[in-house]
Amino acid sequence: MVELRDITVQNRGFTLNKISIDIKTGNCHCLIGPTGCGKTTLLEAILGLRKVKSGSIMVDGKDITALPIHKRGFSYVPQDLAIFPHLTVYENIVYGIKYGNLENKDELYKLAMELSESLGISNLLNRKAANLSGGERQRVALVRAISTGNKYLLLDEPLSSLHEGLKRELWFLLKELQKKYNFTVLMVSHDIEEATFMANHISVIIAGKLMQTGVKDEVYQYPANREVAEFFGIKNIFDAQVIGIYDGYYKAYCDMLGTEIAIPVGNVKGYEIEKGKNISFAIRSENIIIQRPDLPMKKDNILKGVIKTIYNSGPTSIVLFKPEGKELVVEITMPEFAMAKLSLKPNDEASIALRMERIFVLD
Amino acid sequence: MIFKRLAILFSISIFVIYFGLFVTLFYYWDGSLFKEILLSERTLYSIKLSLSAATIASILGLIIAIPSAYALSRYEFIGKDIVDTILELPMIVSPAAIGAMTLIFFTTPLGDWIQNNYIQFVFTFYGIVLAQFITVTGIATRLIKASMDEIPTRYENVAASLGVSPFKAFFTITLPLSKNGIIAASILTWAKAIGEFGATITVAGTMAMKTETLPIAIFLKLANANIEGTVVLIMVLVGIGLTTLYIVRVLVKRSSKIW
Repeated sequence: MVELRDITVQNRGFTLNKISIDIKTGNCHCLIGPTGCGKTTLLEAILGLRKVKSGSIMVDGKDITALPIHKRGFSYVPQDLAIFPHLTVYENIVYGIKYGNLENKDELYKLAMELSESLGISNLLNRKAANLSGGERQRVALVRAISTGNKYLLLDEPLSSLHEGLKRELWFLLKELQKKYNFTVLMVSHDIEEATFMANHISVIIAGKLMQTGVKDEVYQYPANREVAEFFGIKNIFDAQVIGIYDGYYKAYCDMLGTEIAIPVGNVKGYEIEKGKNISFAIRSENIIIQRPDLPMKKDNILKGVIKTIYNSGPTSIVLFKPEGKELVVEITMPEFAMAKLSLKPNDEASIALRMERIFVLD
Repeated sequence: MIFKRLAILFSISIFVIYFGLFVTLFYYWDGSLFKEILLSERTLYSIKLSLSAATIASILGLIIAIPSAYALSRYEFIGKDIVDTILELPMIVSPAAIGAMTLIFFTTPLGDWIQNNYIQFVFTFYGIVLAQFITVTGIATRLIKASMDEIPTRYENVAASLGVSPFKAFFTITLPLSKNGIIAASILTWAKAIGEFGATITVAGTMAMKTETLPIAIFLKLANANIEGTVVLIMVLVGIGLTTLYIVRVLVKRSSKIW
């Protein structure tokens, strides 16, 4: 396990402030956040490229904060992959084994060949690295990193330059490799889809601060605060006042929407709510349902209004809904097939339901 | 289109200037004198002296320049900016001034002690090597640093993450990747050293069969108004320079194909 304790890094006016994260063995832990938030700085500090001003990095109980990079035991794949251009594919993948201070080199040579075979690059071994395609370069970088036998793999957005199809193919490949060779991955990404696919755990960093860390589903479904929710692209964030506490749920009046909202007690994380308290709550656009008149209607968290705009984005449609008597809009994402059944168009009257179990309160 | 033609015209004008100067030499060309001067013991000694001093000075310069360039390219340290700035000293200060500074150093107690206990530099072969070494090392460092700056540090970072020490990563990654820059720097360093005059004459003097390099021989011939002899020696110097550059260029091309 990698334990980061109060890591502070200063870099030209930017400060990464007291970051504490546990990266559990065998997991894929993803650091996400907007561009310039400090996620790559943190990865580089863990790797040893940046000086840690205060705090400690523990690996399997051993403090490695002061160790040089080559003694830390982290294999690193940077964004541009850094395939050594003057070497062949074979020389690249065995580079660490040949020149590194590693044990069981014979076993590692075998591992490198086995990985080359399973990643489909064994036919490229004599080729100059400069003559590889994007996908081939990714595979070479992965084989090179894993072949060292290091238990920890640090990936800095290594798939960001690939087209969607190849990127997805490598997601699956990386998952399979991780399962087979049981290494721990710490990955930096700004791609939420990539992070939620790859990771077991997610840490969200915004403006040098750790905003939220935890199990992927927990972080994704229940962002802890407005900054995290906004980073996840959640537009439906509203203010409300608690007007009642009932068995299993709170009732709050939302003036912005002009209605009462029921929020499950379980969706309020980490602090107490009392009557009269002002809160902010949010809901993902895909957790809002446009009600069909021919099906049983929901009774809680209902809003009536008109459809303002409909944008089609391939498999889904984004619907902007204007509640009755209000100026703001609520964003709804609907699958294309559901939209076809509703056959809605702008200015149609509609009724929407905010799925109670998916509403979360922001800190 | 006009811009393209203008640019090409300027590049051709450079050739015209240099080639024109070279062609001018033939006005005083005396074929019978060429063989006589070229094969004279004094000229052959000057050629040998120039080649050996320039080669030794360049090798010594590169031994210092390569690690220095790496440090300046990769690390932050106190005084880095000063070191970086002073590399240009041989270019901004006249070679004669560099030579004079060297000569003055050897008049100080420390310089005197070095000469008395280790090596006599002033008016010797070692003085030629030292003068050329001082003149070329800064330039070599600047050229190699520019080449190393082009190599992303990520290569070395990845090498380190694969368990490879910085020392090994330097020899297996940085040095091979900056090979072309180092070769180019070596050529220019050597060419600068073999043509060096001001610092060499100040430190080593003009003793025939002892410290008379080709540029000094040219100067002495011209000082004696022996223009035909000067022309022969200039042609020898130009011939050596261009032949060496051509051989190195061919070798680099071949090695690029192998790499």
